[in-house]
Amino acid sequence: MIKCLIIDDDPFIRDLMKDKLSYFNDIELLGIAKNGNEGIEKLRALKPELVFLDVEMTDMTGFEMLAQLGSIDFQTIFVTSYSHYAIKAIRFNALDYLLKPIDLQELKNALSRFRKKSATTSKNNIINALENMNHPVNEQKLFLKSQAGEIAVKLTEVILVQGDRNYSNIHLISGQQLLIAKTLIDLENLLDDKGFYRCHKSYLVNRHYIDQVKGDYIKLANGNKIPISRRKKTAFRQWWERNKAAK
Amino acid sequence: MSEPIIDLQALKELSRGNPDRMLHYLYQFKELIPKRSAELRKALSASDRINVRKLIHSMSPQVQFFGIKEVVKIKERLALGYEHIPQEEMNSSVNELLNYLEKAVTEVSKLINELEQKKDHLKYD
Repeated sequence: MIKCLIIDDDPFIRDLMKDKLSYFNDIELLGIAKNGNEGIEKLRALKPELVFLDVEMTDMTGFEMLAQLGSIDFQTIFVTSYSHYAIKAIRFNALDYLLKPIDLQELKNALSRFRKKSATTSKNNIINALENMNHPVNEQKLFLKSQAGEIAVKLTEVILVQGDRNYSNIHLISGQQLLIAKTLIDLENLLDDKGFYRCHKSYLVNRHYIDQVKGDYIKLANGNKIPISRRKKTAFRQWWERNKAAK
Repeated sequence: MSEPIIDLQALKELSRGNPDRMLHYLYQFKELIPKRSAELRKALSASDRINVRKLIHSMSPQVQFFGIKEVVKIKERLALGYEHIPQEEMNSSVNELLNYLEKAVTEVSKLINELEQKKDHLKYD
């Protein structure tokens, strides 16, 4: 049995989640907390394996609640209404989430991911997320699944991302390359507000490593020349004008 | 007679034909939506855009669950422009949304009466 706890300040979502969880025979609902403070108390007292945690509560955010806990010995599925910023932060940190109102099939998929995911990975992702929130963008780490396993990559170490159909190759400043099973669009969505720009259908560049912008290519700090697609030339120039000072 | 604005499909699926469970969610809608609508009116008259956004956001799951498409559309439109749309446009959109919610609450109240009556019939038959 999976021992669960629901933490949400919306009575409708609490009831909905409870009813939807009742569809699953291997779920044991240990309790329901109405806000972050009650959540902390119930987490300590009930010791669940899995927590459905509201991202934005009235007394604190789900992340603030997690930061108040001394240790995290459970996995978390964040629950949120559509909010671009919250979802982006959750995805960036490779955390799991459900959108309100909860779709039964999505819940089923999330539970199946929970069963497959190791508790250590989940815990590390949360710790990484909390650390990222306390750091400026360029010191944040991106959690990725590569051929070598789960790795945390500092954004400052990424010079370029090269797309290759369903995969992406992350080029690090050290010269190392990491092949990961994410498309370039996935990575663009995660990184476009963190100093990265998609200058070409196959390339996403980190502004910190742009040495020169010439005509239709970019020269990177490692000497690589990256093409700027004709279609993106004007938009790239505008972005570069806005961002080169922050380089 | 005008078309109903709420869609009970999700509620029926969730409650699996249990009238008490259906009533629970209907009563909850009837309780929470007017309360939040009143707060939304207050936030709107104070031109408090942050709270307007927050309150619409908080109603959104229930509104989606009850399939109130018109409100979802307005909510999405507002989501794109909370920070920059002119106050006049904000006022008219939020008022439109509040009107739909009012209609939805009336429909829900009617449904509650119908369901309660059905339950009584079953009890005394």
